Amino acid sequence: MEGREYHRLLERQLKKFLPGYPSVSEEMQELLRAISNSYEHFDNDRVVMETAMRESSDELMAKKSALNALLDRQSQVLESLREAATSLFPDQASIVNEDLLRLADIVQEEIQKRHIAEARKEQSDQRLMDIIESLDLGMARYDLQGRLTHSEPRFAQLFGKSPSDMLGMMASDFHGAPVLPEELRSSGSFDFSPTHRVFEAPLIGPQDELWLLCTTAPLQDDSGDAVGGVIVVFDITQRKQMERKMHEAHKAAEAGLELRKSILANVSHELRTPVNAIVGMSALLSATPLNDQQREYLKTMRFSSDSLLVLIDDLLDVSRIESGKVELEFIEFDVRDNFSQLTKGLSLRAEEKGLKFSWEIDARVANRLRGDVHRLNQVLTNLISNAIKFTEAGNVQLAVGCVMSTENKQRIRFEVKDTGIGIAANRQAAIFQEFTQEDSSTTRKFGGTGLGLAISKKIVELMGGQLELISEKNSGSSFFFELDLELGSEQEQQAPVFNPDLRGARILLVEDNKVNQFLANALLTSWKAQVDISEDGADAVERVKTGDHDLVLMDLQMPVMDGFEATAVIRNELKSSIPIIGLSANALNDERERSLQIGMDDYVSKPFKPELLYGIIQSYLRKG
Amino acid sequence: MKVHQHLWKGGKGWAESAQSISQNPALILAFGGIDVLTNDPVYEEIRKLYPTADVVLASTAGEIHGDEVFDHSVSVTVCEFEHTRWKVVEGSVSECANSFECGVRISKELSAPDLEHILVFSDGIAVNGDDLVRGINHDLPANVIVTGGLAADAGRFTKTLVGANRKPESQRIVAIGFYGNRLRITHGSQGGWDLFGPVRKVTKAVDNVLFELDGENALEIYKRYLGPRAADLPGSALLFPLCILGSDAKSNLVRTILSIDDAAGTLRFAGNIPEGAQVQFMMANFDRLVDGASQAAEQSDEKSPDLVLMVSCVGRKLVLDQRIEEEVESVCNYFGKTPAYTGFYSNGEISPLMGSTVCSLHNQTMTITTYHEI
Repeated sequence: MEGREYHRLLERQLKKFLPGYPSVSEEMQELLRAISNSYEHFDNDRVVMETAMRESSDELMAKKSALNALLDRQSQVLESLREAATSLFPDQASIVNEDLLRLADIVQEEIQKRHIAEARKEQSDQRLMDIIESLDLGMARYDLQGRLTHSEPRFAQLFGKSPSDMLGMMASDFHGAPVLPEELRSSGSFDFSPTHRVFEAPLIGPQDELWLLCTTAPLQDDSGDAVGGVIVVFDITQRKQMERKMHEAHKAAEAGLELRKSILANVSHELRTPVNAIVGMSALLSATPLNDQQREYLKTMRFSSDSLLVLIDDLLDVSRIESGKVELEFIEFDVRDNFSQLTKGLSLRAEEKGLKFSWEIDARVANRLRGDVHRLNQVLTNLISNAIKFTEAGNVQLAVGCVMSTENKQRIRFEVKDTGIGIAANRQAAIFQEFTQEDSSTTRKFGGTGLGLAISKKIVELMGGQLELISEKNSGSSFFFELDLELGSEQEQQAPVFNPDLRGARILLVEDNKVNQFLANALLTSWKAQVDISEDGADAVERVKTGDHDLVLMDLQMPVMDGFEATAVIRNELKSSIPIIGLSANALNDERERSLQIGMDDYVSKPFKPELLYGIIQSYLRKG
Repeated sequence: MKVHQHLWKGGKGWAESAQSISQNPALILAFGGIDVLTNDPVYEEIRKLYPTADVVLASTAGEIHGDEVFDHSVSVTVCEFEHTRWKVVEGSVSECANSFECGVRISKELSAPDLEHILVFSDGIAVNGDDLVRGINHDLPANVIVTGGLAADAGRFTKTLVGANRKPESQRIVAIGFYGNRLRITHGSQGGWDLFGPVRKVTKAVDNVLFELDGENALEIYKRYLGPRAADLPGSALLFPLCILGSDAKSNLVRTILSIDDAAGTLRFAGNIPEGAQVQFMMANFDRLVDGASQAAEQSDEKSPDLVLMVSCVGRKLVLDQRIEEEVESVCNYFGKTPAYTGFYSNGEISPLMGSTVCSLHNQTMTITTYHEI
């Protein structure tokens, strides 16, 4: 109230209505001051009120526009919600459009359905996990860095840990087992890569060795982004240990086979030497003047020894037969002459035992056929021998029949029948196995190796037939098979005339065995060669050094220095290229290879056929 | 129960020649302007008249005496009880760890099986009225009615005085316990303010200090609303008390600003402002303020009291100004000529919420306690 005593309105009113103002009494002044204060107070209140109302109004306006914006936004949201709901539940479209509350209900129902579906999925997941656990499969999940993020109890248990201990572990935290042989280690290393893999991993578990068959697969989140992988493992430790045992057993078996092979080689050596002598001697004997009866005997003897050689060869070649490495010969032969020869020796043995042995050939069977007659004879000899062996009384028959004829082939049926002990039905399959007779008592009574039928069966199979058996216990047996054989030329082929002549050739024979020495010497001499003899390799080396030989026949197994060593010295120290032909009773292939490798020119296994040895010598002399 | 009254006028002495009516034991309530209590030998003069009485004094923002409102005076009311015992406790705020502990201690010291009523007068600046009331209630049986008020200093909010049987000082609390079953106590409390403006959320507050409303600095909002009157803060803030909205209108609580901190941008209230609470500004409506006072009288539900104690709010006096007596008149009209009327304008009224006996701190209300000995 500067410059004025009272409120300006009161001042004006006083001037206008109070005569004598501003002269007023003291009591009046106090009243006027109170009135003036009331005016003042009213003004102040009005200002405050107006300010407050304006502020409040502004604020409410601002709030209202904010609310409007919010409402706009909400109606947009509602519209989007409607659109979404319409596409989600097209069959409910009309409801969605008319009633928001109904829409909320529908969404609520859908959410409920989804909850139920999720619960079901969870149950199904749990069931799956239960199955995995009950299958004894361990399962774990890992992230993209290869860190374990979850482990099922079985997975942790395989490593002797609790699931929580496993979290954060990497594949490199699981170490490989160092005790395993290299060939048993898997190519797959233990790793947590987010890819599809199947591998075997050798690890160290709570009991040292732990083999796991592992399957890994990538994992994705709901939006399809790779988040890591899952690994499922199965404990195959026992299987792996079994494999290892089998591997060891297999090695042991291989070692056993090697031993058997070496025993066979030694036996062959021992057998071949005497047979060699018989063959050689018969050859020599046949070159001497003989009467017809002697010639016939000699023929039989030679035939028998030839068969024996074949048998020995087959015995040696059991493994070759088994592995299918036997090569068949295709030789044209005189059918009736062959069986006549074949049966002669066997008839004698049957007669000795008081048995009647007979054979017959179907008239339709061609005179000449082509095939491996030695193998065929080997089979028939074996079958007939067996028949004689296992028949106490009665007869043994060989029947050769023609089953079918074509222009250039005949199907021939061979049958060996006896009236012997027969073979029980339940043993018929087994007797074709190696080293098997009907029972062990049979072996004691009749002797034999039990090898014959097995070899026969295989040879028949090689020739395209099938060895079969009809028999009853105590009612005799009948073995038979059929072969397709090519027809030979109807005319008898004249064997090429063998007129050996080594006149002028100087041959060094290196041989320690006296019989073989004699045989070879006799043969070579009969071929008119000049022969020098050495008894061991060392002597042979000396002779080669000083002598003037055209060819060396070198035995392999000798005292002092064997044939291999002598050949090595001749080639490497004497630098001589004189033809050297190895001679050995050891017919195994690796011996032959070793001979050629060490520098021999050729190799002949004893007992050799004179024609073969002659041919070889002749070829090297011609080269020289 | 016998009641008689004296009025002391500031700088002048007793209004009429005061005489001691009786030498019986008496309880004397003396409410006076802070300058009068400070400068005049009021306590000594009362003591001369009533050497054995319990004298309780509190400073005010206006004294209610009869149906009139005075400033620069002391309203003295002498109560003689026939059947009722009373006990006065008095202490300094500094004796307790905080306002809550003060309250706990008061109810403990006054505790007795036949305790009926506690009348409390407290320093109106240094005390957190809300915590004080919670402390008093803490161990108190539910049937004990607690009323009273916080002393005031004519709206300056700098220093208030309270005392019992001594010259009143700042930072003191006085409580009187009433015992026996012959004293009938009723109470009523009513505001009459209008809610206005947006509802706001308390986003930052610590105890009775308010930082932010809806994330905005609360002091800034007040200044904006006060406009030209912002310069008169904190007194002018009484024009816009803050209502803490309860679950219904009955449980709404009104809070008055006691002081502001311009540097920190904060406002300190007479009671706690819970963080997260919904609040709304209030403003005066003259007619409703006056109606509020008579409604408070109706609520008390006492037809023939011996004494009516009115504790009204300083905010109401600031608003009603010269019309302040209208609210006192409306209370006197309700109870008639029989009872004695006294009271004062306070920094905070203490009274149970309506419909409950649990006491709360109120602001901006007319709070009435009636006494009638039977």
